[in-house]
Amino acid sequence: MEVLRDTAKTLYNNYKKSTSNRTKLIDLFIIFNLVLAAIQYFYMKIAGNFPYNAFLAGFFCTLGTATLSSCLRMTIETKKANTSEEKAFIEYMALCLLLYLVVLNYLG
Amino acid sequence: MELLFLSLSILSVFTSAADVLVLMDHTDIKESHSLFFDSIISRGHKITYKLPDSQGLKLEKFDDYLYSTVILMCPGEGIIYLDLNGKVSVSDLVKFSDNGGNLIIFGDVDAASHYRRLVNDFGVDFYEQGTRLYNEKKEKIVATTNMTGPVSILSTSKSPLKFSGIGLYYNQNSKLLTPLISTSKDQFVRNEFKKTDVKEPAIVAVAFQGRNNVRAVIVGSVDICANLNMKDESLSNNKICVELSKWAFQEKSVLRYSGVTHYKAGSKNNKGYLEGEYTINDDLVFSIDIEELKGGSWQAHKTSKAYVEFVMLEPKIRKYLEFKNGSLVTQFRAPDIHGVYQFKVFLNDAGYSWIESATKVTVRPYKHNQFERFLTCAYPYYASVFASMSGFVVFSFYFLYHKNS
Repeated sequence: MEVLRDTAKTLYNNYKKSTSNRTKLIDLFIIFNLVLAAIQYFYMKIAGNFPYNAFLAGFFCTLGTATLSSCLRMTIETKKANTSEEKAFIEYMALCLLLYLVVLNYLG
Repeated sequence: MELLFLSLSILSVFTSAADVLVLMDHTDIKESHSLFFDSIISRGHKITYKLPDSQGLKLEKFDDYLYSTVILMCPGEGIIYLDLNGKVSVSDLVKFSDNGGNLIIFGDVDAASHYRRLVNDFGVDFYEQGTRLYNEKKEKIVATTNMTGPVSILSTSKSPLKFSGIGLYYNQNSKLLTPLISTSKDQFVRNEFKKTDVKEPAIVAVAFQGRNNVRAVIVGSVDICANLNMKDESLSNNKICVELSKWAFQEKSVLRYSGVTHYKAGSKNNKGYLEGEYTINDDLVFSIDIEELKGGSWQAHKTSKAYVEFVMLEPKIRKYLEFKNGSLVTQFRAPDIHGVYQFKVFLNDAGYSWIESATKVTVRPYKHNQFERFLTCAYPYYASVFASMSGFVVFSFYFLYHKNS
């Protein structure tokens, strides 16, 4: 138990020191979306999946933005992708908007 | 429904609605019941008096009935069961009643077997041969005050009714038969052959109204309408006999319906408007006019016993109609099941004509855009989608415009 706690503490301190603010922001956004997805999943378990389209729309919206944000984080952190930061961000934004378009149509 | 149409088309077969045939045992009846017959003539009818075995007695001529009502006062011999030579027989009289003719049948202690067969066809029977009604003092003339018939057939009367005759059995499960007069307390039935007494009240008169609204009155005594009882002011024989004959001749308590209307609640429509189709869970209004023939003119009949059923294979909704502004109305919501329904109206008030009406209408399911759009139970999903989107906006703003460190 002690070992686990020490590992987690050093992991957390390392993370705070070594990552840039921007990366921390992306991580926060990803965790926010995953939490929203978890909330929707547990709500569906309680209340039943009556408007199934609404459940799927909400669930995949949050999961999709989480996935796309993690893709953005990967592109920006590792330089191997050979794309500039602006191009990466524009791709990210375009894909997110496409995702929201589909989600809004499926929601109603 | 078909029987109603059939009877309406056959009623037009009567040559004149004012002709009455009286079949009597012996010609003295014409004088001994003259007050009764005079009351009928004074209402505009023409009476033909015949003995049952007289020559040339015919009920119909070339498929037209010559009489609209037949009064039978011949309980002794005279009516036979079936005769192919054209004499009036039991089957003739039953066919006459089926085709719209009214009957008044007076029985008595000497009712013969075919007379009994005739009343059997209406669900009634006389007591056994040899029985007779006696009053409290063991005399043959009975005075009863027990008139339980509805006001639509008889009128209320406090004075007694005097007669001598026989009691009736009737089928109590039938909704077509209504008992009218029975004997009072302490009056009894005595069987002369078996020498037994039965001290229960016996029914003396029964009214019958068939499904095609033909009427028949069956009475267990011939001298209930005889002159010596009708002349007496302290008795109610006169009143009762006149009211019974009015009812049997279809001059009283005759109803008809018209103006079936139904439309969606909230839209203003005239009487007679029939909406083409409804959607499920629609509020709709139904209205019908029922009129009674009173004094030669049709007037609105106010009743609380009429009801409408919204039927598809079985009544899904049944509501009593309320009297409002001269017509009977009600309002209800169409059920959740779509299909072809019928509005069926029924009025089964004893003594009044039976009213049955059916109107067909379709109820369609929702169109694709008539369902609810935004459901309350899906709000968490809507909230999370908009939270995610606004989070995206905030995130991209921070990502682009804040310095990286």
